[in-house]
Formats: sequence, C-alpha cells, structure tokens
Amino acid sequence: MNTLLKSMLCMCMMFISGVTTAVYARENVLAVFGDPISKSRGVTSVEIEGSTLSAYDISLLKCMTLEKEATGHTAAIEKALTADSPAAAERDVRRSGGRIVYGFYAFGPTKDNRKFGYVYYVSSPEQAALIYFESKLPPSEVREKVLSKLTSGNL
Amino acid sequence: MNEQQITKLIERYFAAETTLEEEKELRRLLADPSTAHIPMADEARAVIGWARMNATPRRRILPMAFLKIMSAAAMLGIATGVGLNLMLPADRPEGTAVVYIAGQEIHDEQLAMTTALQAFADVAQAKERLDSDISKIFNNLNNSTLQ
Repeated sequence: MNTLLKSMLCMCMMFISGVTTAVYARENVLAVFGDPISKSRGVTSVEIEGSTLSAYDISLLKCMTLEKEATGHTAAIEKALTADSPAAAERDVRRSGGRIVYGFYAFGPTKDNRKFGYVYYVSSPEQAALIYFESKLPPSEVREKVLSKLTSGNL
Repeated sequence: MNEQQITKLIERYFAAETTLEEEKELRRLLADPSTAHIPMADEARAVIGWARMNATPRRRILPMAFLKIMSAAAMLGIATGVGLNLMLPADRPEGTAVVYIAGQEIHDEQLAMTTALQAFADVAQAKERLDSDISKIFNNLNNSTLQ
C-alpha cells in the first residue's frame, strides 16, 4: 500500500514539475517582449499570431530589433536568456568578450498548447535582434521546414 | 493484585503460560508506578516493551502524515494543471499583427511580416559571419600546425 502511495506521489510530483517547467521554461525571454524595453527609442518590436504565419508552420512570432542607440538594453536581454537557458532542450550560444553574440535556444512543448518555443538572439555594438516563435515542429524539422522559408541563410 | 500475585504473573509471562487477557493486565500493572519496587517488574517491562516493538510493524506517524499532505498537495497541483489546461486557449486568436516602433503601435500585417523577416535575415547573416570566423580560426590553426 505504501509503495503504491509512494509511486502515485512520485508520478504526481513529476506531473506538477513538468507543468511548472513547461509554463515557466521561457518566461524570462517572453517577459522581455512585455517589458518597457520593447517600446523604447530605437527599438522595433513585432508580434504576429494566427493565420498570417500558417505558411511557415508557426503559430506565434515575436521579434525585437534594437538599433545602436538601444543596444544598452542587451544586458537585460542577456540576463533573461541566461535565466531561461538551463530549461532549453537545445542551445547554441556563442560569446565574445563575455557577451552573447549569438544564441539559439529550443524549449520543449508547453502543456497548454503543446508547442515548442524557439529563441534566436544576435548582438553586435551596432544592433541586436531577439526572435521568439512557437511551432508544433521539433527542432530538427524547424531548421529544415520553417527557417529555410524565413531566411535564405542557414540558421 | 498484590506483589506476590504480580510476581507470579510475571513468572508465568516469562514461561509463556499467560493468556492474552493476562498479558494485557500485566502491561496495565507494570505501567502503574506503584509496581516499580517489584524486583522482576523492570525486566518484565523491558521484555514486554521489546516484544511489542517487534510484534507489530513500526508505524511512523510523521512520514505517513507527510505522505498524506504531499498527496493532497499533488492532487491540488493536478487540479490546478487541469484547470490551466481548460482555461488557457489551445490556439491563439487568428490573424493579429502588431508593430511597435519606439512605442508607437501600428496594426499593419505587411509591415509586421517585413520587419520580422528582416530580423531573421539579421540573425542568419550574423550566424554566417560567426561560422565564417570560426572556420578561419580553425584554418589558421591547421596551417600553423602543418608549418
């Protein structure tokens, strides 16, 4: 009886832990888009959802480009990326002088909409860009099917 | 029961001749401080105490209570999870596109898409540049090793 109870307890804790991780895994990066940074001078931010993106197999797209005068905000963005980084299932982060110059993070599917979350970040003294999008496709297929349509380059 | 009867009962207990009722009575008598002076009482208390500890599995009240509390918490967590699942929309609303330029809100699908594609292009170019830089570093290393 005790063993059964313990097993059930373990399963419940794993479930709760899974829900918590899924909900909060990318919260810091997402918070940046709701932050005053996104409406600062020198910042252009975009939020697209729904049918506009259906051709790209994406359901939600948020991006932010920072011109030179707004690159001072990159420290806050890096802090958010660093905070969410451990929860990423896949990541490719490149640094120069201790600062992130390129970052790719793939987060597991959320429990609420069962979609993967992807983050791209690039930064230089002249400009920076942060992209977040959600897709039902896993990382391997996103590279092949989504990004090839969105860029001529290879992400 | 006088001291002699109690001693007799203890002796019968050690000889395994007591009934369950008598053992119950003996436990009651030994718990009474007035029997403390009886020579065999201490030994009997020790044996009965040891026998009781080994006769029934030790029931640890705290872990059981802890498990019950944790189970209740887990159930609450599941209920919250299910509630969130039901409350949160499965899919986003259809077709919205907003651009904020220095805080100014613009609802323009074309502009939003163009801006987003430009961001992807910027990232792709940066990645290409970094890959190229890494290739150069490795080429230089290879060349210096060969020399």
